[in-house]
Amino acid sequence: MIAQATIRDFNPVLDYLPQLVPEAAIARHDVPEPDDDGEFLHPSARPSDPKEAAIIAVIDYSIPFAHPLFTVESGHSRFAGIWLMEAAATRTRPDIAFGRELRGPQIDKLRLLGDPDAAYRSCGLMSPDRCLSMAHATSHGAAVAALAGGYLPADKEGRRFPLLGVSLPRSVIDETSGSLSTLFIQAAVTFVIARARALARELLGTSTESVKLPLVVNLSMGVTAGAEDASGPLTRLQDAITRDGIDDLGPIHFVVPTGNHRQDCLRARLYKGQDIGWNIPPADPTPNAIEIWGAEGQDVPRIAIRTPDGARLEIPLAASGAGIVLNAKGKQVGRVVLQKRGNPPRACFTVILPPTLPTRLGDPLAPPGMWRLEIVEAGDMGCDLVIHRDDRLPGFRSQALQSRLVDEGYSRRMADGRWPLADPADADQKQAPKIRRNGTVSAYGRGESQIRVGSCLARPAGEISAYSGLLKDGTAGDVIAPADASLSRTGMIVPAIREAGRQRLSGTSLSAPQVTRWLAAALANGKDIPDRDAFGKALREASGNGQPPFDLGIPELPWRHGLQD
Amino acid sequence: MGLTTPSLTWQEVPADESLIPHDQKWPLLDDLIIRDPSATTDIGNDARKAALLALIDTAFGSTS
Repeated sequence: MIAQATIRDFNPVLDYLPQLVPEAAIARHDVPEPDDDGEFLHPSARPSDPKEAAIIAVIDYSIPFAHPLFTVESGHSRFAGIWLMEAAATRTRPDIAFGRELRGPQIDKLRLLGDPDAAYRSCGLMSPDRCLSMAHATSHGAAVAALAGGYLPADKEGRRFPLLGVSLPRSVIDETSGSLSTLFIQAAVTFVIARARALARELLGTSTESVKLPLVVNLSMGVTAGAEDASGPLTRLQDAITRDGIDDLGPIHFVVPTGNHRQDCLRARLYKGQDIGWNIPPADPTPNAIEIWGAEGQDVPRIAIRTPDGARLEIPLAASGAGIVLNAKGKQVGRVVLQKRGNPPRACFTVILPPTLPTRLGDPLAPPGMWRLEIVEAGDMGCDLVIHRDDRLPGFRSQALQSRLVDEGYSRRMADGRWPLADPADADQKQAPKIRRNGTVSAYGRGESQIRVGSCLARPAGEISAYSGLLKDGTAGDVIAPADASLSRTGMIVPAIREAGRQRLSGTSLSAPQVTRWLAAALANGKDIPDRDAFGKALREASGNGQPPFDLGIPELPWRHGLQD
Repeated sequence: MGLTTPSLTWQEVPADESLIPHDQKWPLLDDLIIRDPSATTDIGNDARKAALLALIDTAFGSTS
């Protein structure tokens, strides 16, 4: 089964867990299990009519579950369940491997402690010696959760959308290639499904009506490398869930952003005899990695790498294997792995360079500067190159620096200074610039069922944001939603961790939860949307006319979002 | 002056497929995970895996 295979394939991450979550989050044998599983929601927080409800799930980090936007008028929580992966494991459940799960009534009790900080403190999330996940003014999770499912307590509309959440460990998010996060995101998806099923049964109670609550899962995360097809572990799992359905639940949709890397020069197409620069930044404490994919059905390509000082090595791998690149002094300056990946399988080289500033004396280091990657031999379809994401997120301590591809024939901006959208029509010609913008969609959105959301401006309406990733065909996603007020005023105002707090953020991470909110409402209102095609049809009907990607338009939100200022 | 002529050599590394088939591995993990033999926990990997598998069963089994 997909989920079980992922646990096997990412077993080293599980071994490494003590380095990724606070010690207090690792369950102990002597901590008692709860007396009973407990109900998910206080009766006053339950939908008054399950036939007109939909479950919204948010997988993110530093989610302020005690925020008033996630409560009803009586003060009871609309969060039916949240898995806080970094929280102190003061209670254990047999299916919670680390951290702590809270259900609605437990959140209600914590909110009675006083201000929301008291709730987060009691979970060990504001502890200077252990975990400071909620000891910030702002967070990505606060913005995303509010956009997806935040309602004023007095707004009865909120009761129609019970919430589930998973707050991922910050250490896992800090490493932006996604290498560490796959296991945790899969566990999060599994938790959401498990609890959504049980929540649906609780809400239906002894009703004999055949009602299946729909579920919309927002995953505002993105990575750059990985298979272009739907063979990645997370996309396979999500596709299987949406396609096959789950007992007790109605339609299940995963909403993901297209990512923010369209202009970052992370993708290229090279043909036989061509090479390209790979700029490795100095003082980078994290490895830099690039994938080189051969075309489907063609022989394994031959590649060569060249260091900034001109040393060249043709990689002698013709079948799955791995090796180390040594410099003249016998020191490791790189590693190359050849695999068959994807469905159908394609040859994939992963070239990994160690940090240019290792954190430990004696560790391998790579010289900074302009490396070059060369395709010595390849089929006539050429090779696709994609650099692993390796940037620094706001609010995190990582000092990672993103490497980039450098093609002398490529201009990042157009002649009028604007950022280009899709690749030109002749991009697949061998003489065309090598760097690609098409296909920069996050790997989490390359499946067959996810709803892919791009970003646009509020003014002029529908203009695609400069950073917004593109699907393989050059379109900006299945749908777009504004995350920037205008060209000169980027971002939108969103809630922060505390009730009075606000933050200004931008990015497709904010567009996705707007679609989650819209889709949950459409499903709760009885719209028949079993799959991505039906979603497009529903949008077309709602927008009246036009071509995809449809612009969701200015959202109505319970705070001033600043998109029309 | 002892300058070294730039050159590179290749050292093949035998694949260890004992736990994870080579083509299923995520190559970057070996560079990101610092294996610290002295790190100890009071609950082992087996228990964590069992909990994750129990969650899978809850989610995708016949009842939850």
